[in-house]
Amino acid sequence: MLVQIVGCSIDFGSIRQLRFPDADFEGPALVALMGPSGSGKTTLLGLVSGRLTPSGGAVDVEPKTKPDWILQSSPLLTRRSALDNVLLGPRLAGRPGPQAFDRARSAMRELGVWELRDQPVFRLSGGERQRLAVARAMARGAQLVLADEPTASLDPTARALVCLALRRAATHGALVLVATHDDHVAQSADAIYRLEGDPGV
Amino acid sequence: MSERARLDALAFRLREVWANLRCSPGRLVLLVAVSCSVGTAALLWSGLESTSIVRQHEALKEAGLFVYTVSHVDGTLLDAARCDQLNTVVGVVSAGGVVGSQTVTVPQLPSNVIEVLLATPGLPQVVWPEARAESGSAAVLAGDRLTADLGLTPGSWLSASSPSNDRPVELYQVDWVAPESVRFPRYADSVIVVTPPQGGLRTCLIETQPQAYEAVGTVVLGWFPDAADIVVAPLLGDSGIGPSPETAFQHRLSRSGPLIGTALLTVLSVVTWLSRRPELALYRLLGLTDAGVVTMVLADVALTVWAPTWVGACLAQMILWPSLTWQTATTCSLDLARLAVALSLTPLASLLVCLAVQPFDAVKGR
Repeated sequence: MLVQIVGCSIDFGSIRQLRFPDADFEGPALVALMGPSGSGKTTLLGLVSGRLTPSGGAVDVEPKTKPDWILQSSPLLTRRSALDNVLLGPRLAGRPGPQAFDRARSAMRELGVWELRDQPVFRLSGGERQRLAVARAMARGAQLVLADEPTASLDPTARALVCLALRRAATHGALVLVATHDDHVAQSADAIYRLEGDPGV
Repeated sequence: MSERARLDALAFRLREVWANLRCSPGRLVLLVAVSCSVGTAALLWSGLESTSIVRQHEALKEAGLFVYTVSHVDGTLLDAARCDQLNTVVGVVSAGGVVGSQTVTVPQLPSNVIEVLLATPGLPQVVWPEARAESGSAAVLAGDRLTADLGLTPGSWLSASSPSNDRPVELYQVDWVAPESVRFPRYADSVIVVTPPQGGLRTCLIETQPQAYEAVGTVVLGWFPDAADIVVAPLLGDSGIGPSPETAFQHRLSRSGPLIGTALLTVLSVVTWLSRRPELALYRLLGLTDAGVVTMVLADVALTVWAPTWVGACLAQMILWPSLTWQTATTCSLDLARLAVALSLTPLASLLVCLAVQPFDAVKGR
């Protein structure tokens, strides 16, 4: 299993505890983490990435798996071109220049952002930026993509395109865990992992 | 990782640094301009202050910083021959004095009279150190104010008579027209006739080499008979002797220039990197190692701080070049070395900032 959640819980001081249902996740798959605000969607992503440590139980991630993050406002080098940003993924994963370029081009074409390759990121819309972040993860060949509310604050058209991009990333072999409130994402997902609000209060 | 892959990774990081700089021309121009200005200012300050110290010292030297006056405490005449013999002492540049004088009448002058001084051979060189060759070979020297008033040139004859009668008593052929002496301006209206060192003189003037000043002072104390009654004093008085150039160089304000400049550039560099935390965090989030961070920070600092500072320093050297002496050039070079050492520490603070970045928090703006 790429990600395995077993009896996992996390404490926030003495008054609040979150417990997570057991689950096994294996790629390729697009999994929507759904639940009301405060139910622990982002916390679970933090646990999977290793940024947070569970108070009880375990979140096991296959060794040497480095997750790619897609956030509500994904981190990009805003003054650099779209292509430069996508190239960062494969280049920092250690792929040589020509191979990195081929992967970047392929991912950008698949997500419909190749035409934007020479545009500086600050000129791009929110949806285009999110698709670039997904393209970067795809070009990197990420096994695990953690997306935290990637479609929030996007218009319906952009939301659909980002959804499609996440779907494509999953098709390419990645396990994509998406924390979302967006039903559109849920409909595209292979599985839904539901979190109930404040289970440990 | 193979050597080729390592070089490819290094080249990628360097290209990223350059690309990021090119994408922020405002920041690049600011950093380069400030660094260049710091390099120029630090070295210019150093060069100008050093030059000023050297010039002040030269002016003091010209005014007689290394000249002693020797006289008897009660005005008794000193042996002129003994004074002249000081010219054989190691470290003495020249020694001499006035053995006699007479006032003569020159009708062409408004004042009617001039003073003719009889001096030992060493005196003109003490009075006109800037023209030792001319003053040392002339037998009759006339001050330039006097020659201007009388229209005399080298080779001209000056006739003068005793004030008591109008009969010409002496003819002097002027060998050299002496410019006004910084040390003894009154000689500009006089005629000095060089005579053998015989008889007595009131004051023996001794110019020494700077490094032999103290030693010669000690020798002179026991040089004349009645040593206990001999007064050896600096021509400029005690107040005239300021700190030596070496001491002044050690205490000059511009010594702190490299440190002030480095502090300014370090603060600017750290502020810049603080503002670039999200950018750096992205690289780290995508897998940039600590070694990669160090490479990128060093390359960035080299391009935005080190290189422009050196260019600025070179510019300052070019500006200073015409006025540089070996002493000021040495001082500037030492300050340049100090600046280089201090600047090499500049990236440390930036590296601390960059390596402390928590990638996830930084990209989320926390």
